[in-house]
Amino acid sequence: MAVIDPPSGGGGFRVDMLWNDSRYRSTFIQIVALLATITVFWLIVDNVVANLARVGKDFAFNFMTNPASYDINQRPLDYTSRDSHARAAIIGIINTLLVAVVGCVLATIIGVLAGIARLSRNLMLRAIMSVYVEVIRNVPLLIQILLVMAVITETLPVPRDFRGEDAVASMLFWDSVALTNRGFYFPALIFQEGSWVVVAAFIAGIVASVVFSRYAAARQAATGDTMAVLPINAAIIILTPLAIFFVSGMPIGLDLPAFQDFNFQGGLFLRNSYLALVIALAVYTGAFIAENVRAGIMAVNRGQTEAASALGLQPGRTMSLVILPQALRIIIPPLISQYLNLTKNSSLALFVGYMDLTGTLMGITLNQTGREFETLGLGMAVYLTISLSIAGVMNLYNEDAKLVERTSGTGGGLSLSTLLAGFGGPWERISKGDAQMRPTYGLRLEMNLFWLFYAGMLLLMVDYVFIQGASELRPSYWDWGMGTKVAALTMTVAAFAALATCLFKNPRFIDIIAAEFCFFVLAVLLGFPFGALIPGVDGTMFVFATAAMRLAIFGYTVLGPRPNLTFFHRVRQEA
Amino acid sequence: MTDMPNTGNSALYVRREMLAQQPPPPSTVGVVGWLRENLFRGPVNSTITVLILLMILWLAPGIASWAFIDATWNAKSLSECRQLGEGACWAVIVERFGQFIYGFYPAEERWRPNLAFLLMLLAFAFALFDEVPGVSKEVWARIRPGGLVFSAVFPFIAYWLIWGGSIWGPIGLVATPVVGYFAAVGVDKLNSQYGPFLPDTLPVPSIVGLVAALVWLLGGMQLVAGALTAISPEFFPLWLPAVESKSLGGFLLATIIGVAGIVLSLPIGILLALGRRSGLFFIQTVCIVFIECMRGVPLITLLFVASTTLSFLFPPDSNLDELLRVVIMVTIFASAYMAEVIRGGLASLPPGQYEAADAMGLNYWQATRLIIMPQALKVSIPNIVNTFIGLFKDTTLVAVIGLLDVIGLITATRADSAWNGINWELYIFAALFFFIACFAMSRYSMYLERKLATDRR
Amino acid sequence: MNEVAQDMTADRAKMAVSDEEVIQIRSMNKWYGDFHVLRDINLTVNRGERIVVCGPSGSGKSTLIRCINRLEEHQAGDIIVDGTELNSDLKNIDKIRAEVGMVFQHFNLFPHLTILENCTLAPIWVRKTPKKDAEETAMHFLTKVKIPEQANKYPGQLSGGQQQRVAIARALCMRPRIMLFDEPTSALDPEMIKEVLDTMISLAEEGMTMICVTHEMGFARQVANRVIFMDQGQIVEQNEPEPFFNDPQSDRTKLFLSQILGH
Repeated sequence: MAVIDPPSGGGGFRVDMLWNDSRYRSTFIQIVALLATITVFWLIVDNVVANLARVGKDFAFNFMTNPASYDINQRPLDYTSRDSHARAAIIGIINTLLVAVVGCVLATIIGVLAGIARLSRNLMLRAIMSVYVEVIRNVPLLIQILLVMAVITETLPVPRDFRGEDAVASMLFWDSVALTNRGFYFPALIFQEGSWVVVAAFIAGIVASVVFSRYAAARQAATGDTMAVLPINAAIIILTPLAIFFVSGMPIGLDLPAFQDFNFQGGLFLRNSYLALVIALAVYTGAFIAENVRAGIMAVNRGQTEAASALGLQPGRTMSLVILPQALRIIIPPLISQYLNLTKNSSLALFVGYMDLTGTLMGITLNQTGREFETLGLGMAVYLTISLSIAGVMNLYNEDAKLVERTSGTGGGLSLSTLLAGFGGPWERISKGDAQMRPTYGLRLEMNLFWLFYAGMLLLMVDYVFIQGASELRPSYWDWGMGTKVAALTMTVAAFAALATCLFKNPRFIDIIAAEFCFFVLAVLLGFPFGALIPGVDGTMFVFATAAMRLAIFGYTVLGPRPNLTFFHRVRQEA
Repeated sequence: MTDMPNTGNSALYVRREMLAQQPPPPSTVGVVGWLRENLFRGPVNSTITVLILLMILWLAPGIASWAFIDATWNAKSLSECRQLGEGACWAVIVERFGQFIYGFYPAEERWRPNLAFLLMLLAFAFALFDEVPGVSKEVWARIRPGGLVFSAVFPFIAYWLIWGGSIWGPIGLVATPVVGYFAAVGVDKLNSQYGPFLPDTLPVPSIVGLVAALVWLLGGMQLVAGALTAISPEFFPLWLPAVESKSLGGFLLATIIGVAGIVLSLPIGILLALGRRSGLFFIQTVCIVFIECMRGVPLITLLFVASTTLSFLFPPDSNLDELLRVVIMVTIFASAYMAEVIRGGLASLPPGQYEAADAMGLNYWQATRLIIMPQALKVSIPNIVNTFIGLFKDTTLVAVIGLLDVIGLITATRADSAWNGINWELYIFAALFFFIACFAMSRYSMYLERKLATDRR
Repeated sequence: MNEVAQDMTADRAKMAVSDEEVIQIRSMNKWYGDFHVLRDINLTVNRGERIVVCGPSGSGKSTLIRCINRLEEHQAGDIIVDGTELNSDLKNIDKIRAEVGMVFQHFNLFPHLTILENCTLAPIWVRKTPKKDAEETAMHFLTKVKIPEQANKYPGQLSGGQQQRVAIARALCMRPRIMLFDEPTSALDPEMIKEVLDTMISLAEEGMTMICVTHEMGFARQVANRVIFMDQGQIVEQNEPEPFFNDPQSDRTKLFLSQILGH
């Protein structure tokens, strides 16, 4: 009989246990990684400081308030060259968003149409669409932008050609649209006195149509009668404001572009660079969206169509009730990432001279001030913010789709569908197995807002440490002692890390504690003036008020009516 | 055929003779049937077909006469072109073809990038293909291990071929892991031969190997290479005329940046993907932040960083070539995308694979190297090719910081007084080039995807 | 019937059980989050024993055997395998995994490697066996599970039963002292179950220590010398097969047996 002695478990700590013992191993590896990261970070910061000192530069953002002294050709806000660099940057951001939003809408339209056309039974149409998709996807976007720009500037008439009785070129659509090589002129709407009634009627019409759709759905659920929802809604939205428009004496007019002296005046002017950019981006991204749409529709099992037909659903209903809901769930995530790509690609504006963020802040401002770090850092931060916001929307959607998949119709808190379907409603409790499967979607939105609040605080703090040259308050970061620098950097990195986990993963209570801890140690370390955040509010007040707010949110998540508390490793039992 | 037995009112029915197969109605087969099925199925379809046909008939003659019939292929300037014909002026492409391909690479040295390109195809073939048409499976299997070594060494060969200079630098780099390996093995041998004198709690041989490799990389290599360089021009023909980065341009530049970016980003991407799935909080966080930040900003901003601030991150006296800086940033950018591609591959593996590897007693790196990565990479290849296509197209952006890639050269050409005013021809040429390259690659990736789908079944 | 039973007893007598205790599990507990999957498990396995674990789904039987080679980590109690305690020391874990073979429900063969490579992988990389020896061993075991001719095929080209036999051979190639079977036949088509069970029976006849989670009660009657019934994470009853099937003591066992045998 072999007696098995349990090996004496203790024996103290040996060095090799760091990598041979699962209790210490992961901590050890992470500490090594942390040290390595800090070392690399430190080396880089040190090099940057040394290099900046060598060329006699510092790191400060006060140049942003200096006059920009350059002109921007497309100004959605008032701007003159005497305005500050900061204002120029904001104009750039708005211009970027103008391209991105319009581009996304156009790309979606093009993409959906092309995607459906690629599935057409008509060989000719299918072939043309395949050529479109393949050619566009395999040619660099930059070349396409430059080509479209060349088409506009080379083939369209100059404004001068529209002059006089025997004009070489003529306007389109009853003299309302002029296509010139400098850009396109469209009629613009003029809102005169009293026009708010029409606008209000239009908005009211939209609201009323939503209400009506709800009513129709409820009625159908109750009685089984279907109503002609679409025509009635169209009437509500279009006819009502139209009637009011005529009754109130046509308060909204058209401002037509007209040729005067040397150029067109009036109307809505879209510059050639903007047009080239938007058209090329929309056509390019549309080709990718077309592929997503096609793949999404094809991914829905053929059997689904057959099953729906066998049940007696008409083709239209089959599409809207069976195919589309399934296809959309496949199409929308890649669609959103195409939006992301389009937004990032809008930075190619630089090549056609459109003044977006890369043109203003990261272009002329950079060249004029020579502040590479500050301008590039800010510019990248803006792009990152836009990207992460879009990614956030995508996460929200994905959670929503998951919800639909697992337990249809349970109110899992604020997800997209509940947002759209209205707040409140009877919340169903999630059974135990369920809740363990999907940890946190119920509180995702609230918690994300919460993290954004933290992120804001963190940015303020980073701004306070590195950016504001608040020399009268404390020595500049670059004059600190080594220990303080390392401590501050470590805490900043840790706080960002904790935040990133909260944003990208399912956060645990420990993450929140970590984030809190890092913030406050960092804040204390820096003597952060909490009071200065909101004018007229005392610092202590601020700390207590925010703490109370967070407590309230925690309390709500733990005790509130919403289900899903796996978040704190607790599951509410079913009654 | 009609000898059906009449049995009164009985339901009995017996077929005595089987029917032969009949042809279908003529309107559903043949050319007519095909046309009906595909082009003229109902009034809407027919209208669409006719409209598209009309459009093609309207556009095609114009395009054909512009691009081919009235085009000019030989001229010295745009004005000469315009005198010769109304159509496209391809003469500019003919005149500057070499430039568009190689940039300002010395004409007599152009065999070097050509050779490098051919070797690159070979290196990729070894790395990617399980079988090659025309080579028997056994032969390929036998030469492939050696071929893989060649693939690994190829980047250094390519570097030497393109930039020239002494071969000893690249050889020194290649030798680094070899030096480390032999140092580690040597220490291990000594230790086991002359009685164990090393503590077994520390992986001493590995540390010695690492140190040896570092010493070689940081100093030893230069010493040896310097000595050999001093001798070699006389003794070995291993010296090529040096070519500056500034002379590189055109599609050569795009290829260099694209290939270097994708090849270098592969190992980084693998590490990032593993880190992101590691479950170690800090490492995971670092990887996620890195990946999301790189994917969240446009490449153009990273190119700005390459041209302005990147050199600030290095010690003051280090003087980085602009092309090198661009390659660094492109690599960082691509590795974030690569990490996501590989993460997708990792996620597609069933958890049983990890469990089986664990149950056998393989450690993390063994399991990753032998079981997980081979499968994950194979699944990822189509997406890696797609990433490469994207990156290759994006190399056109380097024009923004003044590198003379195709777009940069086109701008320069248009500024030339002889060709001032030319537009379409240049862009169409560049577009066509990229289209051919990218379309071929995307077809290849689709083929791979289909092949994978059948392999898995 | 009686004859068969006698045969079985004779068979069982052939497979000698030694006194050496190879697995000791003492008051072991495990939780998944809040869920207590394994509650106070005490189990001793002697060398040469063939143990069949059965129980309703979710009763923790798979988790139990996955704890024995640390695919799952237990949170309280001791597990000692072949004289080595399973604790946080990764070297011990590696040692035990090399000594304990495991066969999975879904085979988990490596699809990118040939059958032969699947079998030689662990001997080469874990045991550091020279490749040639490893291949010889692999062929030996492949012959034993009756598929030597498939050695150069890939797993995808084999049927489910063949794959599972390869998986058994793969585990045997490490020359394990203990074999764990995690529902080896439940992912198989009925006609393939027999070939896998035959392989397992011949393995048992050679005196391999086996712990087998399975619902094949015929197999349990024929080869097991102990049957363990688990429910709600606890060992409810264990006994020799004859009394276990003919005269179950606990109500839960009776219910379970009536459900799986009573048609």
